[in-house]
Amino acid sequence: MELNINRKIQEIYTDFTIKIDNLLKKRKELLKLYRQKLEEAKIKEVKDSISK
Amino acid sequence: MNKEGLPTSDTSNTETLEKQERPLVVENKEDGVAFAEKILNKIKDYLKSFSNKEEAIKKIESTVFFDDPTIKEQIKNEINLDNQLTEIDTEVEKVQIKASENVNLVVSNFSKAYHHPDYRDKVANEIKEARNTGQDAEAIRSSFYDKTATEKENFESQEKERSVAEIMKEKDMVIVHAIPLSIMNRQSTPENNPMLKTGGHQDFETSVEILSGLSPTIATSIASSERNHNGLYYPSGVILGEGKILMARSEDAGSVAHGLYKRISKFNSDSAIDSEINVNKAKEKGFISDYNELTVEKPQIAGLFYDLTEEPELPLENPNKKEMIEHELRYNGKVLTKEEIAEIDEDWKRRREEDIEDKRQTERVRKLDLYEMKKFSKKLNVPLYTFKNENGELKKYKTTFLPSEAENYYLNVVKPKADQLWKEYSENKENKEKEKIYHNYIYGDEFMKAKSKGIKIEKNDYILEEVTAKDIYESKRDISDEERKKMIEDIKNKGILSETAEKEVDKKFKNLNQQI
Repeated sequence: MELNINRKIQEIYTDFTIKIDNLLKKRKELLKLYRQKLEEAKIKEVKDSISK
Repeated sequence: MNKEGLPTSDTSNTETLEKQERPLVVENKEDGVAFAEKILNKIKDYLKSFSNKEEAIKKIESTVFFDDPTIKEQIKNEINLDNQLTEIDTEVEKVQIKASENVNLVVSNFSKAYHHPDYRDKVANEIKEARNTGQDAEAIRSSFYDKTATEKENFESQEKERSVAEIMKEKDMVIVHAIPLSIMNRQSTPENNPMLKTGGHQDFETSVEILSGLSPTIATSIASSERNHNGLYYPSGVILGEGKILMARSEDAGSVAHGLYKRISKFNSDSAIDSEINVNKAKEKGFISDYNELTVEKPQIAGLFYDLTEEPELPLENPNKKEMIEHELRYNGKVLTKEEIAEIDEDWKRRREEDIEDKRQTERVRKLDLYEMKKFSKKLNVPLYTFKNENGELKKYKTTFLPSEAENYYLNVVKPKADQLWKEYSENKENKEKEKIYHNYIYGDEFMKAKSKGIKIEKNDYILEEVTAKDIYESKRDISDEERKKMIEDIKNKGILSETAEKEVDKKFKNLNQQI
């Protein structure tokens, strides 16, 4: 009987970690995109200043 | 950072978000409650090692510098960074809360919802006693939660057997909550309804409003032609269209409310739920009460009902006359004289006359009752069904009222005139002339006859269409959130609910208040 409760709780926790990890992955991708855009903008700024 | 001011490829500056959490190994011997606490802490702590939105952005921005300070904002707006991050963070919080709730549900909420408070107190005392005497208290506690988890699993697997809707569709049974049309006839006690300041003595309309708006756990019956009065506690009330059956008995179970959403039998101090539900057995005629009892949670109304069954006339002769004569001979050695037999006949004749008069009175009351039911059906926007026991079968009829000239005349001509006369009188109560005119009118022939005819429903004022329980279910109308919110406000304004009950309602419907 004990195993039943523990197993259910385990399932809830596993489900939780999967959902959270998916959300955090999305977050990571978004921040990565931001960083990438910043880098592109910096490159452009540098190129523009050189061409002047 | 290189000489152009660009960051070098430095993965330590990139938000590291992959957390390699291995699933926990379930330790078979670990106590369920202790394991739940461990998991709840893990859920709480899961995100502690990750930086929040502002820190994460700051960390990235610290690696890149611009001459133009507005560039960062422009890029953020371009990719809608702030809003998207906020959405994700909100979703993360919801997932965390939901997971914690679900863990708690497995372990403890079911026991709180469905176990008798006396039973829970008993277990708590046993645990306390065990701790005092050095016995294994944790074994008692985990045994209680083991039982709870099994009961919950069992309960959840019986969705179909416990569903009012499925029973209606598959077994053609109607589950009703009887409500008298007159408060004077109500037999509730404050013990049965401690959550209501009225102790259950509120009018028909308010009772329906409470049921519809709050969906409290209620006592109900399966209408049955095998029982006296069709197994109905009162001849009027509501038919359920949905709900979950917690307990089903072929007799009165003596259920009492412990809160708006918990109802427990006086005769069972263990749990609010039966491990199995057998409605066929509950419907069978019992030995003691005229009605069976089922407790139902989350009820929804499909319609109103009124019982139009006509009891058969008593036979001309006492059907037990022969037995009475034989009984005297067998047990008292006495042969009844002609006079004594004539007395039996006289008694029966008197009884028959009383019965005929009772039926006439019942018929008069029914005509008025049906009018009331017609008004409620219209006001509450809920169909009315009538029951009739015909040749041992309980038939159900959708009742449609025809336009009534008598009613129109009363409501649109006579009553407005009486209201006007009352208004004129009440504005100046010193005016004896106005008082006389008013009283003469409402006690005069025109008003009395019009009212008498106008507020009665005769047999030719309605048509009946036979329906099944499935038809009744399919005609059910769901209550909108706006309607429910209005009902809750009305009930609160009437001051019917106890303080505890109001808190229960606020907790149960807090999302409703936030939505609207």
